[in-house]
Amino acid sequence: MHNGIRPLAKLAISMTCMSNKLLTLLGVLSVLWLFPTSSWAQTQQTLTIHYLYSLQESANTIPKINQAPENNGLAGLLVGLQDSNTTGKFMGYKIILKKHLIDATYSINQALSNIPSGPILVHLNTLQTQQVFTLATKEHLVINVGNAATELRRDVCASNIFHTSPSYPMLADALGQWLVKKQLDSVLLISSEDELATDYVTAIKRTLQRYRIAIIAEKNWSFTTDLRRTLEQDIPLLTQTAKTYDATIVVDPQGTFGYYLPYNTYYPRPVVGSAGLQVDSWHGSIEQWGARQLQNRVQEVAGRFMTGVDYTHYVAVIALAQGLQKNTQFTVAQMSDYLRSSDFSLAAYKGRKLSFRPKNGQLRMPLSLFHARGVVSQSPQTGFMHPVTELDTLGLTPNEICQ
Amino acid sequence: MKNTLCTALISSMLICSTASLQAKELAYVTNEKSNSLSVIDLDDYTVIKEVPVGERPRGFIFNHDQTLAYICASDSDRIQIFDVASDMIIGELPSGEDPETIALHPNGQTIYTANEDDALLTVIDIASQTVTTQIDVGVEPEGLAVSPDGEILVVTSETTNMVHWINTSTNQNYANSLVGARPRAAMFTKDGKELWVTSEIGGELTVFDVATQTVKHIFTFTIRGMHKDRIQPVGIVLMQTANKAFVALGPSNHVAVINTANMVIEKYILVGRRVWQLALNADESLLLTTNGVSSDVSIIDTQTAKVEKSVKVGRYPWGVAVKQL
Repeated sequence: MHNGIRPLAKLAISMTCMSNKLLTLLGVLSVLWLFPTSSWAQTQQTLTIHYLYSLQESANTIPKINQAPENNGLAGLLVGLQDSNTTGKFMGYKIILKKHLIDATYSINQALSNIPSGPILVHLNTLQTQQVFTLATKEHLVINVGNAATELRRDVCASNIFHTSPSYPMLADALGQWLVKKQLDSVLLISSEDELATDYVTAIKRTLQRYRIAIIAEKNWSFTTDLRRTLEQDIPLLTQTAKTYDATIVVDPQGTFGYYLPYNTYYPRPVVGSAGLQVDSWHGSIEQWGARQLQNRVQEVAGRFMTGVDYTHYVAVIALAQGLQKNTQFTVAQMSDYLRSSDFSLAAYKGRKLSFRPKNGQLRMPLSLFHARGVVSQSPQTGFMHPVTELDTLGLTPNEICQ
Repeated sequence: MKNTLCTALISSMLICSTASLQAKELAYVTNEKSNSLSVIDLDDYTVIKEVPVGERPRGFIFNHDQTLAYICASDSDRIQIFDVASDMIIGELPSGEDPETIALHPNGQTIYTANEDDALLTVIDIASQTVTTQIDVGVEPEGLAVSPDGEILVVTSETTNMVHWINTSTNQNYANSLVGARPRAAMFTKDGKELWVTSEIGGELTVFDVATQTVKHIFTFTIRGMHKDRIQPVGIVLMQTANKAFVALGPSNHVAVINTANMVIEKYILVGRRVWQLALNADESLLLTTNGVSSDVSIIDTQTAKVEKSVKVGRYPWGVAVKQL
């Protein structure tokens, strides 16, 4: 506590009091606190994780079935806390959550002024996330848990900033490797015109160039009419090109139109990207590598399957918990160093260990390729080599980061 | 009608008697995704029958005289009691939710099961078919082992990365040791002085001194041409008759052979895909491995450390145990 260096976790005075506080904060987790605390755990450290988020509203043009669940992300966070605290009861630490809803009445500035130090999980849009990165001090450890924007990994290399959310270049490379494996050498690229799509499209073009996949044609989605009755007439027209393509890549991060494309393209070719064969950090159909137990725990907390956003939240919490297992007295700087070090490796239901890239704090992970009801593949694909780890074949290369 | 019945009876008796005359040993394999047991005759390495059991059968052990077997039917949330003579499920033990693995106390009276979904270890009294107690352990408890003298029970927890040490007379957790990521199997040496624990994602095998719970040795594995991330230690067996241990290395599709006298890894044996659990036959001449992804069992000669045969079983073979006839 002296010389301005404070441990990340604080000593709790009363455990009973802490449990009560938690019950109020995390009603859903109440089952956890039925366990008696092991008597041998003499000291109890508590770590508060601050969660900055905004309400993610789906446009009402998106069919209900494609809308993200209301507690998207939070469910993973809660399960992460539950898992970490079960371990914590043997190790003598406890992690608690403080939520900060960013809206018109509560700004990022205000939130950060209420958080003197400690880990902050951020699930906000790109501009807001950048603002958190700028305002964060050395006393904060910031983890971006829900934003894929390239620039957040390309331009920011502060030692206390991390990303558990996969970046657009990682997602695009995962898809690109699969196209190479399937020898699908030419594509039709269809995208919407919003800011997120532009970022993803740039990443996809980078991938296509890397893997020498030709773009036969590039089209923007600009329909504003209701296509439900004319799909079978309009989509073939949109996807008709003079030269055939091997696949259609659809870029639609908001989910507003991509679902119109599978089985409706002019040439009978697979649709990949935001519809058809999709790519993400996680999917409800994953049961390999012990994932079934994780899915069961999410079901218990949220009554639904785990999403990619839930997963990135979950991993952020268990990474911090792993740091506490190493040393409950860690300062923010020590925790940041540990997470970025080669000592850190995380088992997180992916069949191999995960780690953070030391340069930009991006979590290395295999990505899943799946359709609505099942897993199709996992990238990196066999044969894509890298001198450090095959996982680094996904995403920005070192010379694209912080130059 | 009478005749047909007679013939059926006689022929089934014949099958039974020929099977029991020929085979000296049978291997029982639980098939996680077929909800069945495959039974392999270890004389000619053929599957002689597949018996339906509860949902998602995983852990499988025999009682001392091998008249009964206990099966973790994980998705049925129960331990089934299997009568070996009749191939029938004759009863159930209350197990708590999602039992994955089981261990029998040397007294033959108490059975332990790890409830993977509930972070609990359930202690069951076999005679009264009741739960004696449930002990809080880490997230996703998996590997169980009881010391040869019956005094210590250990359980590994996959997501908590720990070995929990439990006193079997008080059912109290008296120590916890951190190990590499995702610990799986645990096994005591026959003298009860060492405990061997595998860490699947950590890629390690940790050997503990039981008296002090301190780490004596850590093995890591290297297979030429194989990325280290794919070498994931899971099942362990320690031979009683020789200074040899075998470790299943998951998706690397190899089994490591360790000389326990000098603690040196001597060899890697190529087996089926995602090798999971291991078992020895009675005279320890054969080692059996369940290979989940390729849905087969590799039968290895422990002297030559060579695979004798791969036997196709049901989908996702998980547990394995050998019965003497």
